[in-house]
Amino acid sequence: MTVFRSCSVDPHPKKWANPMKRLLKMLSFLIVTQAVGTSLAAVLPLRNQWKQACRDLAAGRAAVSLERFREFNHWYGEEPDVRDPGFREGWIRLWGLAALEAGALGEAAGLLERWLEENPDQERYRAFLRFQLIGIHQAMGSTGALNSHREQFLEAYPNLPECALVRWNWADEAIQAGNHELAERQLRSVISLESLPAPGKSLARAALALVEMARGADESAMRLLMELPGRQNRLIRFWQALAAPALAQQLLAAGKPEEALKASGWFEFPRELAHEVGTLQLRLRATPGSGGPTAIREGIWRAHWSTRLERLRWSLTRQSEEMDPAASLYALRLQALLGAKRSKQASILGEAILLSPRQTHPGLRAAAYKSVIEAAIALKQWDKAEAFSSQFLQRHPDDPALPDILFLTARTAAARNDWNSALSQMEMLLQAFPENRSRPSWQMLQADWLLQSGQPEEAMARYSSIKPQCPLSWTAFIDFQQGRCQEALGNWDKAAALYASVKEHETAVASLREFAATSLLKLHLRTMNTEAFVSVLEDYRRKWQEGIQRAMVENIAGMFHQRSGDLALAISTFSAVASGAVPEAEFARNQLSQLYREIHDMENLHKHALAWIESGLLSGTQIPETPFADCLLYQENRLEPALPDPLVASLMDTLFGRTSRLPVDPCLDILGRNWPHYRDFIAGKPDSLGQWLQSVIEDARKEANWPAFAAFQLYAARLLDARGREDSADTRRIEVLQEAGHLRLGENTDFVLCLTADSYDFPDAADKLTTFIAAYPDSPHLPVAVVRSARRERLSGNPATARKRLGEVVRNWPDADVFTEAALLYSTWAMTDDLHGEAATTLAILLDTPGLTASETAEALLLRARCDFHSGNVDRGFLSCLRLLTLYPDLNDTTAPALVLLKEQLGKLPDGKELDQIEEKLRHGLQPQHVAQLDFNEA
Amino acid sequence: MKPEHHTIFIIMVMVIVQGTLPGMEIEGQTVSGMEFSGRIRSIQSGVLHLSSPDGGRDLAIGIPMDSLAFARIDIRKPHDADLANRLETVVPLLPALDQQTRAALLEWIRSLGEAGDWPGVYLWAGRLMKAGEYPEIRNAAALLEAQALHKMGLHRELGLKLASLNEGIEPLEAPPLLCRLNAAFWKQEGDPEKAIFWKELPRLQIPSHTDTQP
Repeated sequence: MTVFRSCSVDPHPKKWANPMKRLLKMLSFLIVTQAVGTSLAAVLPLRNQWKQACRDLAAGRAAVSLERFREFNHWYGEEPDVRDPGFREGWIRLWGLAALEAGALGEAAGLLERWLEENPDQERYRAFLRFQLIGIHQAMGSTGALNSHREQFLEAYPNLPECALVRWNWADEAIQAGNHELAERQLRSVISLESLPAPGKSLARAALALVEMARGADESAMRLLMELPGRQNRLIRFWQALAAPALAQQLLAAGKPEEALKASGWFEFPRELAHEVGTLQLRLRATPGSGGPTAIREGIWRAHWSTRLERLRWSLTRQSEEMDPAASLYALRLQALLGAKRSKQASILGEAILLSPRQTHPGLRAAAYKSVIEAAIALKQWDKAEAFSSQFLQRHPDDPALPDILFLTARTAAARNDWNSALSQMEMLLQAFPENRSRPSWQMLQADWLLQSGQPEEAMARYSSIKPQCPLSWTAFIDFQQGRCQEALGNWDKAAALYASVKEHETAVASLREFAATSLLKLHLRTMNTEAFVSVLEDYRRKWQEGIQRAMVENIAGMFHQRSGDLALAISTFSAVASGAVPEAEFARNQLSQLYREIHDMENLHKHALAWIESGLLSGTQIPETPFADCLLYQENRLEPALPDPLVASLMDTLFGRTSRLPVDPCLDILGRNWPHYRDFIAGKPDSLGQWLQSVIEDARKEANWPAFAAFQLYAARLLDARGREDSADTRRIEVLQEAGHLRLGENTDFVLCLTADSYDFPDAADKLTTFIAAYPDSPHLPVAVVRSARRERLSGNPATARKRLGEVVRNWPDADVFTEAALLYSTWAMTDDLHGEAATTLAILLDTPGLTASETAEALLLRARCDFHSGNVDRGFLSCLRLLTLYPDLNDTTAPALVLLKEQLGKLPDGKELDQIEEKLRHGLQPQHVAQLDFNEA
Repeated sequence: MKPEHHTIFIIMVMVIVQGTLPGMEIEGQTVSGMEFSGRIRSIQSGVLHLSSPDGGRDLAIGIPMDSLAFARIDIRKPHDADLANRLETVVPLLPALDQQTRAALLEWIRSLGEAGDWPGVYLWAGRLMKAGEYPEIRNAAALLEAQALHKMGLHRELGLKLASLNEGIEPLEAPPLLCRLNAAFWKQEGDPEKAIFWKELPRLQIPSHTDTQP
């Protein structure tokens, strides 16, 4: 709002009148010259007085001239020659203009009004004098007369470019009066005037944009500023820069971060711009249209542009005086980047700010830290988030932003599912800053974390304690969260009742009510309560036809039909979602694929897969493996080629040109399994897939097309692996590493290259793993990469970092293939680092995990035994050993150390009953060869 | 350093010069305040030899280089093909050239780059940098020198040059060309994080710079 007022509302009304005075001087000179030439001869007796008045007016001595006109009127006003209409017309006109120039506005208005009245048929000067009267009445605030002259002017001279000036001033007046609708109408009329030059239209559009901002129509303002005509016109830049901060702020507050980001792209430092505004004046001197005394009209327009530019310059100067431009604009840009989810860019800008201490205000410094940490959380770069948090806490412990940074530290822990740390850090924050205004939202988040960490009962209690202190508007949200707690506790009826109450809540926001409906549907799907599900589904479809979760709800409906056995309905429901461009379409497509496979409907499976591939190629998005796997299944099943000829050509182009968009391996598998057919559609008709692969590898190498080179080489390596030629396969992988290892080639390729670099101890193996982890935080290969990276950290002498990394795998990926390896390794390292408690906890989780192999269980038992002996839990230590040796007596790798451990621990026990009992147990439980190795004291 | 004394070591030799000498038009002032103008004949043994028109004849003037307060050469666009050769004669004059001439020279060096003459850019940007004074022009010349190193594929030298350039400037104020050169360097070094940082930085600075040509 400040910006709007500062540039659109007249700050010094009198000051703006000055150009008008200058203009009038010139104008009077022209008119006087003309009048003297035509009328003097007719009034010879009065010559001297008249002549002197005219000369004074022409010389810019308006006050003297006015006095002479008054004297002239007094002495000669009633003379017949003076009353003659031919003379009187010029006399009244010049007298009126002299009065206007001398600032006697009332007298000028009376005289010029009299002129209009006495000369109804005089067209010459009429438009000009009415235009002047509009200005006079505007300055005098005579609304009635002003409106009357305005209307008459606009009606009588609709094609005069000066209509733009009249309307523009009218808009200014409306802005001052707070009538934005009227201002908007007038400015739109100005813009629609064809005779207005392009820079003038830009100015008018910019002024209209500011009016739109003032009345809260941000998007319209944005459009106006974006579509300003004349891209080269620097004036546009000034207006955009002037409006951008307020516009970005308003758009952010209105929840339109993308638009706010666009507006933030116009930021410039106002002081520098204000200096530049002066250079624009010359460009705007052009007079629109033609006709009339050109010099006068040019003068009027020049005065108008000059006024506008002066206001712009004044506004920019004021903006630069009111704020620290660097700090405010950069902070706002950071906010816009984060709001629009441009995490990478927010992080880069934040880091650049922190690397520029001379430019950085303490407030901006804190904003930069927050941005980098928030961006790192969004990008799942936990280490980076933690590093910047610690750096801030260490370097700026007294900064007022400390609670915000501590909160982000807790959020980092929560984001990486380290709930213990997150909850304890949040507790500390709540205790350290009991008066902080963010306390209620921290408490809400703490309750949510309790729920997410599997403590629904505690979460429920926390929500109950928060509820009485919260604003009423939060009640529905708390009910919703409590519904989630009840659901987690298995109290499905209570959960359903809470969701239903939120769904029907009168004051809750629509999106929350929609979320409650979706949660209710999920709950009914879980319980397969058909009647309730159908009722809620119908209600949802009726109320949220354009709901943000509509596609998800249809997927839930599809799953419900699928589970109910109504496969035809499930297929039609999923098909409707799959044909859309929403993110949920991918889920629906996968479900359809699964359904067709289940019912063995090969024809539809094939059709669906082809449509999926084609839509991916058309939209340029990445195509997943599933449709190719479906095509392969069809091909193997029907013994006929799955890919139609034109599609093969498209796939070949994409494989070579935009490799990362296709899953190379399954695509080539399809071709390879029916090569005699597909080779006909490939240039040169190569005899075998291997021959073709070799040629495309060479082509890619020649063209430095490294993504294609890497993809084909790695596929060739896979074929070699399948033939048992692992060394040759690795040679190819190493070649890819050497040629293109420094590039980012896509998730799968980069992963294979990381593993190769790690296996062959490439010097940059550790860096490669770290880069992969940072670049693909959602990759399914991440656990393996993290385990490898942790091993490398351990080898480099960073045991704490290594353990921390491995701990992530243990905590976050219990279903990963590498989980057991990670848990065993973590336990071993924890014991080495004298953290037996952590080791014991991890081993307990591991031993409860189903599906462990014999050797894995034996190793876990051995570790637990060691842990137990160390922590004094001797009984369980002996039992673990006994269990290991009894269940897995043939696993020498674990039995041997277990026997050594047993012997060592038995030696520590004092002679007595306890020792006897244990030895007795062992003698009975163990195999004779093991007993012999233990060398019991027979005596 | 200009000599502090104002002794004029101007040797004026009246000669009748036949024909026109190749060279550049120059004007300027000595430390003693004497203004001069004419066509450069040569610069030898620390003396600038000019021929200056005087009443239908050419007056030959010799001005010791260390007595020059400033000199100005008219380098007009479009630049002719022979300009490089003619400019070679004024290399010793570079420290005395005024800001306007150096700015014109910088424009000419840029035009060499546009024409693909990167060794030329490297040579002249280096000379302009060494001429001292006018930090803005020297910074711009240093950037052009770095760009020339990049274009000539001298990666290691580019790294060293960038290290010194980055030292004197904070990232928020780094010119777009410096950012792009840093991005190109780190990409070549195989550090995608740093390369992306520098590549993205210009469009995040205020005002934003959206051109991305290296």
